[in-house]
Amino acid sequence: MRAEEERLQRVIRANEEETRYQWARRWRDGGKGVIGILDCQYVPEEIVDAAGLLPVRITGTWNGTLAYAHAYRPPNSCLYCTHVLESVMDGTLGFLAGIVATNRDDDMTRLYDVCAYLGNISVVELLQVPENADELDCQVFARSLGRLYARLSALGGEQPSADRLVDSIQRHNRMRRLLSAVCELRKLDPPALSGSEMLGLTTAATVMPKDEFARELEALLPYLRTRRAPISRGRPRLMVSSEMLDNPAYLKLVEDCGCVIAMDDLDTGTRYFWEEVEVDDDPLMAIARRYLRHTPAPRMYFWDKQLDLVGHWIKEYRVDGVVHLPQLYSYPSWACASHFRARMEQQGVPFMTFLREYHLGQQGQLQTRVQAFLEMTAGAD
Amino acid sequence: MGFLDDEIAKYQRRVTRLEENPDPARFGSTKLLYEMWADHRREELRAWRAGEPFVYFDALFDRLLLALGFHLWHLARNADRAQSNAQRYFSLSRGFGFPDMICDRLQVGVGLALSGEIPPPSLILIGHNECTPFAEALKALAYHLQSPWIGLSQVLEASEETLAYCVAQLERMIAYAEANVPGAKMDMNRLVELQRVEAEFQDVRVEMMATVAQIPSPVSGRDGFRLPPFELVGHPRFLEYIYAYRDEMASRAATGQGAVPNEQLRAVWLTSAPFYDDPFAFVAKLGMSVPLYEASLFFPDRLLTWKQWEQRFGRELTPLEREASGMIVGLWRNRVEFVLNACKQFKIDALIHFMLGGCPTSLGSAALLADRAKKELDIPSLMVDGWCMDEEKYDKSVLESRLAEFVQFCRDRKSFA
Repeated sequence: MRAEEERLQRVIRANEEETRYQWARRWRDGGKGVIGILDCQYVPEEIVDAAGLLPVRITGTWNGTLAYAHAYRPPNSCLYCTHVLESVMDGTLGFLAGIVATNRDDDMTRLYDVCAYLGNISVVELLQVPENADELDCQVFARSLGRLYARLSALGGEQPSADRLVDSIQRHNRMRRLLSAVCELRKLDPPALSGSEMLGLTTAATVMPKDEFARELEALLPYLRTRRAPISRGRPRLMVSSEMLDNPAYLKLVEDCGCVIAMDDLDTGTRYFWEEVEVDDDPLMAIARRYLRHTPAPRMYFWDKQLDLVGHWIKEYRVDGVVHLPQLYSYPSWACASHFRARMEQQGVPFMTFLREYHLGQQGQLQTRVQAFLEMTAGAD
Repeated sequence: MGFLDDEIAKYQRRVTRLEENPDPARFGSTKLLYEMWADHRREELRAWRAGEPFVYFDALFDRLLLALGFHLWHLARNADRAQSNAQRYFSLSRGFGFPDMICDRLQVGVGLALSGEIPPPSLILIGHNECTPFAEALKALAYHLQSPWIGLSQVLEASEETLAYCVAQLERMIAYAEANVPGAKMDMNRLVELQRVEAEFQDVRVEMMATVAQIPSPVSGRDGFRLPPFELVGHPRFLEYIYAYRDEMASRAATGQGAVPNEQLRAVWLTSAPFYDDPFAFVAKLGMSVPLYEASLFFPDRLLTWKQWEQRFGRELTPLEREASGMIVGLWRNRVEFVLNACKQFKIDALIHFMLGGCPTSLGSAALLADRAKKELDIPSLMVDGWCMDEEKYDKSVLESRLAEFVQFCRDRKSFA
């Protein structure tokens, strides 16, 4: 294999179970703190980074069998939260100095309660994220972020300062620009990366120090511009939409049915890096505006804004159909499904929904559904 | 006949039954409650036919919305009254694409909203005060029905700053309603009057809760639903009923009459219970009373009023701030603390967690609550899975055998203690 391809695959596999926390452990071993983030779309990594800590998105165990978590979470509740709790309870996340959750939904706030109660991780924060994004809501969010920044700075041993925030914003914007540049290459036919590879890349960004990730991606970009994804079929071109989907094996399963995932609407994927923070005099306010106003998740009130962007991506990336994979027991995604379907029907875009596990489960059922969907999409063509 | 006609007929039947066969074991004031409900439903029908505005909403904005000129439609509280036709409403909501693993009260609520049997909304207000599934259900309806709608954000901490944010959100909501709903206009005098009634109601409820705490408790199980919900606050006999209920309860307590003869154990029943059956009567036969039932208004967390926030902030709140204070923390956030405190206050022996499918806020805190109740208060818990409205998923024998074993266990513990 070429050296560049090997280097690319190392980055793509960064969030695999065996490797995902190596950077965090190295950071911790260097005497610095690591903060686990439970909601990568709404916890600003800039805040954590500016506080002198390493932000790392927490991926729950991908193991389908759980030994501990069901003592506190019944099987019929958000599976991402349950799998995260398993990792908290089995010691996998013992290296964390703290966790930041949001009030994304009841499951996440209850996960926060349990983590705070168990005390395995000494610092547990709950960030309130408004569901609206008017200037009033941004101001309130900015103040919450300011308080969080002060507390994390004390933990990180740094003095809070606007300059540190601006540096961090620039670091993260650099990462966003690089990922956006890679994302452009998905417009190619076939794309430079498969959907599963792209998800591997974006989740790598959530577990690596940003400077290191940016260096890797800058070095890889010239190679990526010449690369074509190793997929059997370049059509149909699909988009996958979901929340808390961090296992690329899901997307590989879909692609192995005979298609390519040319774009995604994932909080762990495109939504993570889409749109930069526009720095102005008030970095906290700038961060608040970006996080509340960028591509929304279903928990926000703007379903149509999210779906307008999905519609735009469908055109830009020449998407032939949308595969909606809400996680079982994830209420915002479920509730949105009907409206999502209605909007796609209005636009004449083939659409399917499949309720999935968090770990890679129900593979046969998902394959059957996707194959049927692909046949339908081909028929529509 | 539609839902509202069914309701009117139901309450009229109940009133007739009570008049023809008064039952001394039941609270006499119940007849007045049924009359109030029948009046309320008739008024809703009238308002619907007259084209007056209705608002679909979740908790805690009853007074504000009444003062804006709306008729109220709380999606879940009304769904609770649709048990007899629940399967029809399930079909409607599931056909719409609403998942069947979500709280079945909400499934019925959504189904009712899609049925055409209830007034359509002139406004949908998503207060986000109860739970995620409820907020998302209202959002789904808002997008589907394409009515004017607005969403608010709860806050997690209490401070002058967060209170000001909540007030600003309510002002935004009022402005939106007035601009988008013909006939909607804020009447601050009406709000102040409704708050006065609410304050009086809360004072009476505090007295009643002290009576509930007595041993034996004069109430059990569904007696908690005899407290009228906020929809009825505008009824002219609202306070008359509250006082009548209070007095009856007090006279029972004064004679040592418990709702459960030979009360040996006291339990908190958590989250919800099968609406199509009466598990409270089952445990009562075994000597267990249920003075506190979380789904009812006889529950301590429902007592968190603006008076407590005024004490906390050290000043009197304005009328709008009083309404906004309900957005601080929300109804379920501090559930664990409230239940533990209630266990002490009401001398509780056991917790029964009804693990309602699709209720993340209770499912996610049940084990934590059970843990703390055992460690801090030596109170055991029973966890039973169930659905409150979907009778097709119910196995009576399983529930009753679990309850019977648990009651026996609690009785044995208590006698050995």
